[in-house]
Amino acid sequence: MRALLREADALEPGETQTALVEEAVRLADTYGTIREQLETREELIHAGTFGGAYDKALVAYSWCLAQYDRHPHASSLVDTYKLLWRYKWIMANIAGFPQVTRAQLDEMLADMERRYRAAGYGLRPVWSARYRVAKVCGDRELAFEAYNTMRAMSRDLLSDCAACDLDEQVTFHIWSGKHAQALSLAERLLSGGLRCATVPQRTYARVLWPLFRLGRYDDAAYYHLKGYRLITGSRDWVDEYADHMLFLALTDNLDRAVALFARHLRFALKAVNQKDKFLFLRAAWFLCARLAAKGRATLKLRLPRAFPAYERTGLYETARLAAWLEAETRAIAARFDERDGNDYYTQLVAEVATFDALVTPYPLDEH
Amino acid sequence: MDYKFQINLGGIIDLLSNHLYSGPEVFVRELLQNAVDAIVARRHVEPEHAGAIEIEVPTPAPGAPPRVVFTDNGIGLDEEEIHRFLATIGQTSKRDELDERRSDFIGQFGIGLLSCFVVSDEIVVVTRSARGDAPTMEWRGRADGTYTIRVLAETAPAGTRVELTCKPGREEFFEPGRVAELARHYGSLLPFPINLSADGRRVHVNEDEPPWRRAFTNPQQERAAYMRYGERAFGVEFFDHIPLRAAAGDVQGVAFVLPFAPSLAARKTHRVYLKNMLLSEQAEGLLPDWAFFVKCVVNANDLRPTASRESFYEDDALRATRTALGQALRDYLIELARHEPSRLQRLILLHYLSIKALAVDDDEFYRLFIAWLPFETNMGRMTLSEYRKQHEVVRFVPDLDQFRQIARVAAAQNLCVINGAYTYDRELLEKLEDVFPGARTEWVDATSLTYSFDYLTLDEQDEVADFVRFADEVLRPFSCAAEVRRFQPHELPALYTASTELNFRRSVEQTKEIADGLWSSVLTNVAGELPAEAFATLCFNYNSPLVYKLSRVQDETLVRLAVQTLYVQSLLLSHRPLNAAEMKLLNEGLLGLLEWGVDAGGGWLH
Repeated sequence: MRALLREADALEPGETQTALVEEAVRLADTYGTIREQLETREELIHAGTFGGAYDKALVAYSWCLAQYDRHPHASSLVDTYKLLWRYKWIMANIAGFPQVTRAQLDEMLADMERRYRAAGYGLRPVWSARYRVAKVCGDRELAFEAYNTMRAMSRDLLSDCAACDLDEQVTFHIWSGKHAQALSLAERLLSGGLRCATVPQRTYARVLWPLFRLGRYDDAAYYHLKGYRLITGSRDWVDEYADHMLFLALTDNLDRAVALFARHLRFALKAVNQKDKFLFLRAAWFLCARLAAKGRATLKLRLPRAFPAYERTGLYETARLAAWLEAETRAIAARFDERDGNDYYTQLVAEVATFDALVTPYPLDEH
Repeated sequence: MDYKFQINLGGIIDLLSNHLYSGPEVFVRELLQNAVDAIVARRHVEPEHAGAIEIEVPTPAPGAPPRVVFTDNGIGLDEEEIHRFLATIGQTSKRDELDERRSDFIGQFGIGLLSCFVVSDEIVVVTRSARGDAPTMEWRGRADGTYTIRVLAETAPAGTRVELTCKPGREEFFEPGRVAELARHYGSLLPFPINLSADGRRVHVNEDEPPWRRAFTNPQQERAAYMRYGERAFGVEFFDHIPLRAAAGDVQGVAFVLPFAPSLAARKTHRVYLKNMLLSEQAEGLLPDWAFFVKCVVNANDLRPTASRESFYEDDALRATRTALGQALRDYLIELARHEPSRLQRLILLHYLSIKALAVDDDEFYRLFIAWLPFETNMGRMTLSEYRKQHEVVRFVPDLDQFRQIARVAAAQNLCVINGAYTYDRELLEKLEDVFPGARTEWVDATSLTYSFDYLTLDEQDEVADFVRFADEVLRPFSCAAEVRRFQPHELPALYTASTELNFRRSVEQTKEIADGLWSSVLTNVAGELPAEAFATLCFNYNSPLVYKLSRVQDETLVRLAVQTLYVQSLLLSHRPLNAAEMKLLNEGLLGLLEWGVDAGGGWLH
């Protein structure tokens, strides 16, 4: 078990790391003490959260939480602070499962609030979680309200780091369509003045859209080239890939966009966060439709074997790829909209039709 | 009425020392940089001028604070320049202009001097311009933001002399040993001699030229020089050295091959110099991502540093440099593959991950290296070429858990399978058929492995039909189906196999047993409905004498107990933790068997 954890520790977050830690959990469950069961699961929560296996992180977290509730006085067994911190990780991704209902999400947020209150911490992270959940659910009104409530609260020990905090502000402004404001807020992140484990890699991807929309192609190209390099390891960054792919398609860098698609499709197919998967497939759909429209009928690609439309020859018809991707994208959108009781994802699907008119060729190879 | 901000220099110095500069020691770098810039400027006017930098740490008088003096024979400053450069701080905050002024040689003088206030409350500069016959000037700047300036009666040699007096608490930076170490640290590549005098001795600090600036008579001598250089720089005896040179960025230096396998999670940093001045020991982004098997020392004359001066600005020049340096490392590996295969093999033992990372994206490289790369199999680690010599089809399991489930059984069937769960391995193996059209690969998982087990003959199937039906019934509550086949090893009575999805579901069920209502309902939704084909299989081995006999037993109680116990035992064998119901099964099964045994043996006991 120790050897597995050590081996995992030396890896970047990703499938391999998660698999090793899972094996350690099984060993701890079969032969270990409760302390080891908790310890290995804490590693699994971490590996899962940063390696894209949010479902596994969720299961491990539920287990730890239940143990915490069973042994309320054994504070040496489960660290309250750590547990509450990780609650944020869980809530950051939970709304991306359309099978989790709105009622369950609300109950989880209430549970989170109750636990934060009981431990005597401020509620800023709870409102941040509420904002994120509402945003994924396409509930603009609630998202704005939660965001503003959160911003009015002071930071404390359980608040996100300064870089993540600022990144959240940037993302909020992009989402609200305030592109110029978002970009000026992003400056400190983009310059590398403020950073953490996920920022500015995440920020580089987020600013591509507003930069593109404002016609700042030079800057967008710069952050694409800089940012994409940082997220090509084994760890998955599915929605960041979506941002980069969309930017490439919109600037008519189709060769690069296709390479990105083929390279990361594997991550998207097994992505458990369906919102991330949706964004990736949506960008890929636009890309393939565009190729088909431009008269590029087939592509020779090395796609993963897990791809349902996998071709052993590696020869794919762009129109058929586009059709497959469109169907998948629409299916996910329908699941979300049904859960959320609105048409937020249907609108995001409809947006694709407007992309064609936005395309502005900006060949990266010449700049 | 307009007012001007009052700037508190003390506050600014504090900010700078805590934020802009990495530590108080950077004053040495800034003073050396000023000296170098001044000498370069003078050589523009007098090309033959031999520059020199002198550092002196005078022995302090009893009770007096220690001092350190930096002297250069560069261009010097006249009165107007003193006001302009020494007394104006932060003239511009724009990065580009700052950079341009830097290449203007003395542009950053003022900012450099600020760093001196971090260790000294007063700075005394004595300078005489080498241009015309300007008088010798003295400038005294104080940390409170005031300065005085006067003409000195005596004439100093052309150049600049900067004297710092130690601030309480900064004594360590005035120790002769520390000053020498810092001067060597920052200035070892500088093209002008730096001498340090202290305690009556004078030492040439940057005596050794870096190996890439030297000429060698033979390769052995060159290699020895590089290896010695690497050992001195990092205290590590490296595996090999790779000279680096790139026109882009005007880069020159060396990559040392690490003598150990680096952790993938660790930051990959290098020692970089900008125009021969140390920029950072922790520069990132200089090499392509896959090249984590080397540690570099390089000097770049034509790359832009970032504002924090920790690494280079990500621009086209840096990208071109990265490509060129990556190419150099790639060439080195290919060269080894062609001419020194045994050396390559030793390198691969340490650094196969780096090579795999490159091979994933580079088909040509893949073609050359894949045969040498090691993979983990159920029969031990072997290279792909060793594997392919013995097995026509390359079988791999894409998932760690599946691999562990089947490793032992597959070995008993004489099947060698590769564990494809490790970083890069699956992607590499998936490419094999594309790159080598003749090769054959096959995904194997626990379920497909059982397909390869021998079926029973029709007669045998009749023999076990009742047993299978009964076992199926016993196992149904556990989402498990029963089957009987023949396989090796015969000591293994039954093999439990389950898909990855089912394994995840087991962990969900296990957690739901203790989670509260809310979390339990969330887990149920996340896991979704269990499709029928996601059933696990308990495959009984007809080669096992135990199973053979069991299939003929009539006593239902005994068969039930035995099936339950075999089920639990095979779960444990594949490291599957038991849930509450299975734990109960284990207890009941064991106790039941004991009881049955005692009953059966009762006659003998009496």
